[in-house]
Amino acid sequence: MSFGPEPRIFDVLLVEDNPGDVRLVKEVLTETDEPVELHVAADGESAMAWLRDPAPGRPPDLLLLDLNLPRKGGLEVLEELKADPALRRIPVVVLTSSAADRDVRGAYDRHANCFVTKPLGLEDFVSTVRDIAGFWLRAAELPRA
Amino acid sequence: MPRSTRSAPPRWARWGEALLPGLVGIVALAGSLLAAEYRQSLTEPVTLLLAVTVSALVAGLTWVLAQGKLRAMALADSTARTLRDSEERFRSLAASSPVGIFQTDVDGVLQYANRRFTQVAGLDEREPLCGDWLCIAHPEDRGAVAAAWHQAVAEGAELSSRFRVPATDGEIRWVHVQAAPLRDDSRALVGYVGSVQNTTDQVQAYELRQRLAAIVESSDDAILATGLDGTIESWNPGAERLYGWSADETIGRPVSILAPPDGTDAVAAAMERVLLRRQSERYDAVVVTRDGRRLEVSLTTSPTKDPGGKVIGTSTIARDVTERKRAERDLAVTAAALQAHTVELERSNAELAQFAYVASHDLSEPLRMVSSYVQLLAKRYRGKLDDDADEFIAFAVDGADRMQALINDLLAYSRVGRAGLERRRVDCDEVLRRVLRTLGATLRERGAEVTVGPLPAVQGDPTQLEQLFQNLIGNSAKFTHPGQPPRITVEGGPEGDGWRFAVTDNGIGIEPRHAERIFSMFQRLHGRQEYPGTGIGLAICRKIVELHGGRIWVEQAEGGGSRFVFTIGPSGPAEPPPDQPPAVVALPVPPEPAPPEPVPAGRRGAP
Repeated sequence: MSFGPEPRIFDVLLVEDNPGDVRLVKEVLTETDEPVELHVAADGESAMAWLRDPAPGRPPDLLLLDLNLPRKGGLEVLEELKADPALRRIPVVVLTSSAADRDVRGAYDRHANCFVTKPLGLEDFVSTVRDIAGFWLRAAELPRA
Repeated sequence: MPRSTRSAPPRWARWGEALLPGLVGIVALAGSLLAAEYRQSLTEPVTLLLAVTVSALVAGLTWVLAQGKLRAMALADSTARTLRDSEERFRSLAASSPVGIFQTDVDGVLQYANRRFTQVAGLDEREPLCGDWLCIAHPEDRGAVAAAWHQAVAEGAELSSRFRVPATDGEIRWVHVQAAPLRDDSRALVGYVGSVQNTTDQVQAYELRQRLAAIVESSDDAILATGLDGTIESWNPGAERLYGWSADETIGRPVSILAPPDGTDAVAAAMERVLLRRQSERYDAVVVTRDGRRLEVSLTTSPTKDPGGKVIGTSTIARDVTERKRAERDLAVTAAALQAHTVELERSNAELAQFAYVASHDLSEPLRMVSSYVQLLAKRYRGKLDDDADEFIAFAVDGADRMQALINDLLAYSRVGRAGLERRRVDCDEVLRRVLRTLGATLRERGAEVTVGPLPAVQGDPTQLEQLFQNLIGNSAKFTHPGQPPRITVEGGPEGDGWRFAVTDNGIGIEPRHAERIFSMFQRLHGRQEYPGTGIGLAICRKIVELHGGRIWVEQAEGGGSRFVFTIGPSGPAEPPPDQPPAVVALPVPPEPAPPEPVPAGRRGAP
């Protein structure tokens, strides 16, 4: 029971083309009990469109970005987003099945805030998402510049 | 020494010749005076005539006698002079002769030896005129020379002997001694006079010729000589064997008898070139034997020259290379096949590695789905369906887990490769500290005690060596008797040019018949329930050790455990372990909390 201000609902945009993963992230978020409203874009183009005209009327609190996406790849989305003054403060957590150095370096070179390889087990996934949400939705605050 | 030329008559002889007419006159006068005396007593012309005649006869006889005596005396004198001159000349000649000259008595004692003799005989600094001339012969030859000498003396015959002489510079000289008997007026043998010649060069040249002839004769190679017109002049047994023609059949015939009927006469052509350019040529050609077989031969043709340097023909040495050429062709084919095979193998290895990586990586994606959703099912619906459903889900979860472990190990195995292998100095003590930290939880849980050696520093890849030790120690901690805490010892030190390490445990051990099999992929000796694992850890260990130029094997440790031994090749300078007693690291390992990461992450943190 909390007596503080009403805990707000965080808007999180998940860019993911695999429905199985979309559902899994949803279920994992459910398991974590995080107050998150999950928005989903299935490719890079629609992700950028959504970000420029977000449904909630304001930018999301967190972007969960897959790398292997149709139409526009995750790294391209990342590059575009971080070059846009209106969007660059949105924390981007790359959430991908890849663990390749090439992808890790590519993501951080384009100023990803975090790179996470999708955990293989459910319990790992749950705790990972809990950590991501705990840090990037509550603890971290990106510089305004 | 004064040189005497033709001798003039002695002075007293000339004087005698001048006195003689005077003497004759005196005698004639005396006769006339006597006749005058008698005329008075005899007064007969007959008597006077007689007296004059007698006087004249006496005077003439006296003159003749005197003249004869003078001549005889002059002759004797001249002969003696001639003899002396001759001896003088002989000595002078002998002294300056380029041939060694000596004279001995019948006993062989040297009476005379010229300078050249002492030089040739090597007596210069040795024992000048040591007496017996035989002493100049080399000790090994002396017996034979002495025998020849004694026989010559016994027969009064000439002596001719070739033997060795030790020279003062330690070399051996060949000499030829020829001596003729020397007799006095009564034809009695009084000694020998002889010459000695240094024939070392001749002997050596002869020996060389003999040796060369023997080489040519005994050579396996076919050697033939031709004149300027290509006519065969000599043909050795090797040529007989190779070409099938005998020397009798070929000498005098053109070398073109060896040419194949269909092709150009490569040998004759080469000979022409050699004669033209006056230099040797090496070439290969096909020749035909007497019975029509084709041979591939390797030949060298050289110009032959007379002592004046004029080219007088060619000599050709040939060797049958038919077999070699065939072998070379076979070898080339084999090498090409091997090369192709190697390339294919490398390609297939690379493909396999790529396949293993891609397959395991791509497999892990759908598996992650299966695994995650099955786990979600288990989590959400355990106990809500019937018992069968719970059991089925449990099996599915277990299968997915095992599949995941396999894929992880396969990925790990495919990552251990030469590509990206580092070679630097690795402090194995430091490696062990990291390994014990990584395995800390497991080791503590099992109550393991790990004794780590002082370990040397080696040349190698730190990440791979860490994985190697981690797998071995992990195994030792895993394969234990129930209820018996693992006791693990890690030792290492130099061996030969490289290094040798051993990880010994008190676990369940490995039967010798399995000792080799366990290092293959997916080889498990035990049930999953007893000892979980994919059976890839030791395959990875072997791969790492082999990449480090070493070998790995397992031995039975005292008390029934296993001792895994591996070597590291000498691929660079490495330091011996510090001279100190083994440090016992008794677990539990001191907890070393990981530094707090700025970014919470899943398996992969920020670099």
